Amino acid sequence: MPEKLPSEDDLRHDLQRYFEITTPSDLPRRVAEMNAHTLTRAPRPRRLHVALAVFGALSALVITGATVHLLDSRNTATPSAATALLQITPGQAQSGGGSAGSAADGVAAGPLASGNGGSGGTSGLTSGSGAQPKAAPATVPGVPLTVGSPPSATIERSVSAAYTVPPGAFLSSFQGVISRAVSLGGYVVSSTTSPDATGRIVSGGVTLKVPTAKIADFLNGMPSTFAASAIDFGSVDHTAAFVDVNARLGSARTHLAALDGLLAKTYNLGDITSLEQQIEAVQTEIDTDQGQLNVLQASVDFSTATVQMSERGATVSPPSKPGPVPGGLATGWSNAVAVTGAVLEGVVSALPIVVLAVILGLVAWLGSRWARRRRDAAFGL
Amino acid sequence: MGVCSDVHTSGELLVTSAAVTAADAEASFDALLSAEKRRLYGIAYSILRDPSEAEDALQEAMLRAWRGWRTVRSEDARATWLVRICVNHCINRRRGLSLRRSTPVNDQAAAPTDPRFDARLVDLDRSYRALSPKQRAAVVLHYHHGYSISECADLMWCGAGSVRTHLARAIASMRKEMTHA
Repeated sequence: MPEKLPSEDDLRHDLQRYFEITTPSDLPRRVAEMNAHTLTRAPRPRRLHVALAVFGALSALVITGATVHLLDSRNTATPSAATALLQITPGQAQSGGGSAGSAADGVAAGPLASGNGGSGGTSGLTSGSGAQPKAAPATVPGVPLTVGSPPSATIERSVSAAYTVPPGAFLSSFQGVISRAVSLGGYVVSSTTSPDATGRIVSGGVTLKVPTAKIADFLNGMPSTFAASAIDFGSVDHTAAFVDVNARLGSARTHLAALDGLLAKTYNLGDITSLEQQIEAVQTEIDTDQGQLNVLQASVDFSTATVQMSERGATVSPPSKPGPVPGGLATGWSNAVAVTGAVLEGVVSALPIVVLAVILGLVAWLGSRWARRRRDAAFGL
Repeated sequence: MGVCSDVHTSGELLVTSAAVTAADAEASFDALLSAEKRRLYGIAYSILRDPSEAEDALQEAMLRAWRGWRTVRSEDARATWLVRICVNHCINRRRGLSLRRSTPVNDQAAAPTDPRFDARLVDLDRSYRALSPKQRAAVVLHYHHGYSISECADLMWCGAGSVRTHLARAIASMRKEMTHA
């Protein structure tokens, strides 16, 4: 059975009771003390909210930028597979195992033998004909390391080594390395040096061309005061190029010999002229092939040795990377500036619309103001 | 009161009269506010149903009133003007609170502990909280403070027909809510 609706009179009566009971009988202190003086000095929370909102937005921008920077730096710090193949941790190097490795800090540069062992030497460093780059283990004093069999005539070798030298001995060590390379028949391709905070040169690198047959002597001749921190080898197999060039060269020489034979038996002026033109073309072809062969031979005759040296404990001045937090904050700020610039650019792009909106807003505000005044006037205020 | 009608040629006299005018304005505002604050707070509380919200709303409304106090030309209309500012500010504030909050404001408020607050008033309280801000204002002004329909229309800045509509819909809604309870 549906319930009966309360009558309007009952409801009005209940409403009067309701408001009488629920309306507070005592005024709150703030209301009781309210007057013109206290009203004008009351805090305005809206401004505080705006300030907090602006501060929060800026903080969010900076934090977002810093987070992006940290994530980027973390991704950048992840070594690639190729880098991991060539760079060996010190622990691996000290183990002296068969795997390729680089020398660890504090391990003195020792003899590096260029025996005939072929692949699979005691140090695991092979000089096989494969083109894969091979890394060298640490050069431990008294433990001769091998670079495998004498480099064949078709393998281009390269080595990149890093050493720490005793404090104050950088320049003499640097000069000593260059002198040794020159004495072995090599030469300097390029070099760089870096000073420390005081301006004294404490680190640097030199790229040398050393006769391939002497590369092991060059590395083994490093002073015992040098501590190798990395020795990485690489090789490129030019066998196919040698075979190709030699084949073309042999064919051209055979062709040339045949043409010379024909020329010796020809007495017709026209034939002679034609043969000489062909001989000239073949000779040009031979010269070109011979030039390519010379370039290839030079690349395999001389190995590229890149030696990096730094004094032990020296602080290299090259731009020091900021820490993660300052760097992140700086990058965050930069990103915030960039984002702000992008936003401003967008605002400028939308300036016509903004101007139109401002004009419309102004008209609306003036209209509402006029209506308010008219309303007040209608009430005699 | 508060308006210097004489034309003074002396700068000192002009400053003095301006100071007197400001002091008079403050005194008149304070006098009217102290006389009306209980009624104003009651209206604000009845519309918002929240003591702190009512305090804030009344403070903001009275600050607006004080800023425009000297623009009021008719002294007789000042009391009505204060109530109008208070009512409309509370309506707007209540509407803003409803928009900012996902749930109706103070729906979970506990019923008064007054022994007179029986089950019927509990249902009425719930149905009243379900009303819109303008319906609340119309009900409070008309049924509690005894303003006529035309006076309610003046205070709420709307037509008398609108006030009647608000009241009729409020009554219908409350009756329906109380029946379903």
